[in-house]
Amino acid sequence: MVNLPFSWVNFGPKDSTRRLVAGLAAIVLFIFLAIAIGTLARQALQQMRLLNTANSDNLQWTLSQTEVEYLQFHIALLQVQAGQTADLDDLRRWFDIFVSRMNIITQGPIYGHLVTEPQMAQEFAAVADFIDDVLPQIDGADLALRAQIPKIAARAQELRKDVRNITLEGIRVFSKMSDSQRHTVSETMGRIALLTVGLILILLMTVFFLAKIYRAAKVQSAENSATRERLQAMLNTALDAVLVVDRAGRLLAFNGAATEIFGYTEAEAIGKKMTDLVLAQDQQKPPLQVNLGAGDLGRLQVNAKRKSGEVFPVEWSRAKTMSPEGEIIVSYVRDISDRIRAEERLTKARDDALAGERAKARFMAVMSHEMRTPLNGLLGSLDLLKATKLTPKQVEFTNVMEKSGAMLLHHVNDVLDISRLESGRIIGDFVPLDLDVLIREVLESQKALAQAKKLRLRYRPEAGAIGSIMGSAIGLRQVLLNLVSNAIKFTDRGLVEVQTSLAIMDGHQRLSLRVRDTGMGIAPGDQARIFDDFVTLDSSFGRRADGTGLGLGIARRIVQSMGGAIGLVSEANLGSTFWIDLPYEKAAKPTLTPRPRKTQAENHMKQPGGSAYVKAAKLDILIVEDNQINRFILREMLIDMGHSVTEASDGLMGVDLAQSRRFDLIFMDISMPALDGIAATLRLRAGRGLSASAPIVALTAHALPDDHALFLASGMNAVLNKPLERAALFRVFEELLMWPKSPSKTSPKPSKSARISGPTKAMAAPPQEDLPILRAGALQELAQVLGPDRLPQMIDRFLQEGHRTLPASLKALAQGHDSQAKDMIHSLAGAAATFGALALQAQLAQMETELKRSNPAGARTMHPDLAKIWAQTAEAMAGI
Amino acid sequence: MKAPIAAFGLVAVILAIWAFTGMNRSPLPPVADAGPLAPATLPKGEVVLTVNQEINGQQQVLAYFDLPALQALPIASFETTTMWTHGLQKFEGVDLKIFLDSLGVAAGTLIATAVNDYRIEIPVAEIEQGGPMIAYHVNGSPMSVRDKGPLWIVYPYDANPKYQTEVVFSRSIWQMNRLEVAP
Repeated sequence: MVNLPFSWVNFGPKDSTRRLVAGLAAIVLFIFLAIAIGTLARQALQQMRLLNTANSDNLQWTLSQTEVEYLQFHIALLQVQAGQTADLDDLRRWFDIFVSRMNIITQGPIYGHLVTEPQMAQEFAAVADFIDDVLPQIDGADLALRAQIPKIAARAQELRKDVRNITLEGIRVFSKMSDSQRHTVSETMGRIALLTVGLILILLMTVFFLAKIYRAAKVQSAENSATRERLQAMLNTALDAVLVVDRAGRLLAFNGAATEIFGYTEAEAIGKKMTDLVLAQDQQKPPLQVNLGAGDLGRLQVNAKRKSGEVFPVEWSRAKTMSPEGEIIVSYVRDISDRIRAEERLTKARDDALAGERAKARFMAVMSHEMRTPLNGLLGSLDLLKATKLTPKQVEFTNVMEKSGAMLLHHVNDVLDISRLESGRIIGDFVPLDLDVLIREVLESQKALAQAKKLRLRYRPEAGAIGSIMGSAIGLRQVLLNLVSNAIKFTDRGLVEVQTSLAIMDGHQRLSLRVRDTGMGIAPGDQARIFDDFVTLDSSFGRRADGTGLGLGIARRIVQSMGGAIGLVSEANLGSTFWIDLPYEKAAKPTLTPRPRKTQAENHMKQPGGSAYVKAAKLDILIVEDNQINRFILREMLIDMGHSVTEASDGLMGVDLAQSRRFDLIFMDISMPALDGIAATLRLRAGRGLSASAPIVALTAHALPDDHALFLASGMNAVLNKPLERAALFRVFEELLMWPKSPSKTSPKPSKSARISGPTKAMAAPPQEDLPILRAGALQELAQVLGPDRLPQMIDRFLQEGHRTLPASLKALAQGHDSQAKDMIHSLAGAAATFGALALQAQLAQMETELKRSNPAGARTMHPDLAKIWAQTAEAMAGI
Repeated sequence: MKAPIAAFGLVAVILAIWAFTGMNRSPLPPVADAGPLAPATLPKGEVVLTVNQEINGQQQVLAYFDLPALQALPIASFETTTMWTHGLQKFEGVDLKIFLDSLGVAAGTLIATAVNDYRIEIPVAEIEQGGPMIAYHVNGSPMSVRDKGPLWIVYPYDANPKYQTEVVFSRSIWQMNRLEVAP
């Protein structure tokens, strides 16, 4: 049980003050009246006493007695005169008695006014004269007295009326006096009565108010006790410890929960200093020190201490309140050790999970990377195999193998993309880019698939061309590619279109991209999970489409990392619309539109139909590569091309070789033990070795543009992605051979054009004037690969295509069918590259770029030159 | 409700007891156990006071006093003002209670009569020592008849308000010369 300090139950301070004032006023009034009544009563008592005493020797008696005694004297006198008695004693005695009476009247204080009454003066004087005259005779000898009797009797006769008058007048005066006295008394009594009535009224009022206060107090006390009981119940049943302290921080209350938490009984705790009792040693400093000056005391998390000395965390909230005894602080203390433990467990679980996730991601990255290396070997060997003489059946088998290998590589790349996305590496910096061009390029790359299924594929900018924005080209391209290829995959007829529009949300401009199809749609139950990893909706036997199920997961990651959102609206059998919502930031014209990493499958498909078509002079080539299979593949390819090859299995060995021998070309793997490719290149370029200025081609599986930039900056001249393809290898040779045989050592900085991974760009960059119409030896190489019989046939077909395509593209341009024109130009450019028609290829590439930039006018102005170059090319080829 | 009833009851009981004892106190004067009395003898000097007693319906003189006889009794003295005199007076005389004790009078009513036949009654029970006296000297001098003498029953009026009542004033008999003890 907790005994609350009584102060917790408050009277309203206003109410009690008012009552106090009223009570004090009543008391003061009461005292005042009581004093007044007391004073008056005393006065009345005195007056009563006066009535009782002062004039109370029965005045009338005394006064009438005066006359009586005078008459007695007179009678005695007359008797003596008449001779009825010889004895003078009686006469003398009555005289003495009369004198005595007159003395009393003249000397007694109560008769004072009577004597001084002016009307009476004469009578008193007469009596005094008589006494003075008669007294000597009375006291004289009997004989003398007898002789004087008649004379005295005569005077006594005269005096009778005076004595009578004194009596009468005295009675009148005293009656009047007594009247006025009675009047005064009655007045005083009246006043007392009035005051008494007032007093009684006040008493009644006081009684009334007391009764009221009593009733109010009773109600209040009932309420208080109810409140107290409620509070008590709350305190006793509270799960939190409740501690109440006074100004000095001493405990006034300590509930059951507090006992349970801290281990002290209530009796032990009350009166102790709270901070000393329940706080851990290090917590006994502010801010928990009782600080009454502060307004809001608020909530804290502190370490508390049990009786056993155990320190544990608590949540401590305090409130200040007023009580009649002054300010008190009520603390609610909650033992949160369980919560803290739970939080710690949770945190650990989360950390473990994150660590697991990271381990998984790392595993996936490593796995896919490791898978790429043997794949590299397989595909490379397959490539070499195809270059040998094969039976038609074998060609069929190798095609199947090639396609399967390409598919496997695609999946591995997807997984690798996920891991890269997890580490946030794929997006790169936001750069200015032309969104319309980017979308058209994506659609372009998917055109073949769409056409195969007879689907319409189009871009519909609803708000007009979006133009240049700040964004990640790689990210956007990947997302769009995934969505569009998905749409094509799951749509059997109708159309797939990309829509763009701009909107304003919350004052910010947003870019909206939608990929709409008229396909089978996605069931509502599946819509939520399709953005998860490894989700393939139709996992039955009749799977419509192959895939890792990572495409949408990748898209979601990219969109989210770009600060956007992705979702879909779909209806079964009507189609789906995937939407992407992105922050929109307008940019100046893009300086370049980075190309995506081409999927290996595409590359394979677009690979020129034949085998090696470049056979330059025999070159001395160094391969620095730790992986034996890769080394083998590359070596075989190069030897097949007629070059002599030296191998180094790591960076150090490579640098040693390169310094001691002069190589025409060096292939440098990037990740190697001991000394990696970049470090080796830096060392090579910095040294004075014989091959210090030899062109270096990076071999890498890190297919990121940022990495490419790093490689080039380290002094490499070109980058080849693994797994190696012959076509790409050929392009490297083409590229390198177009440059001065030996790049000057003083300018090892590669230009952008040296980047082989973007063939169009690489081809477009060199000034066309300098380009030969036909690369020397190109046709010979082709003949070697195709066989001398088939070359003329190929040339013939190429010429026919050119003759047909060029006017058609011009016509398409004139009619505004830009996309159609671009397709034709692109197709012809590929063929031109195959035959080494460099000038033609460059011109076509430039036109294609213009078209991609939605600049058909630019493309049209180039058409006359194209026609001229075509004529030259056709002439040159026909001459063979 | 119980408390007021109890209070009323208590008050009623007290009143009843008061009334009853009051009745008891209403005096039936006890018969003086007169006993055989020696016949009064006349003093040598002038008789200033004659004391009578009524026995069996007959007045008998109990004692005669001349001034020396009175003065032989223990002398009482006090100073007081009176409403019949001017200024403070010093009286000397015999304490009335002692006087009556000397006569063996313990009960009944004292009837005093003056020269002018003024007569008053004083219940013996109301006479207390230190109260009234039979004064024969005022300011050291004997009193003449002309000056309320020779004997005057005076009370110490100033000493006690209870001696300032009309009854007391009326009992202050001067020129007294006779006393009678009535049963």
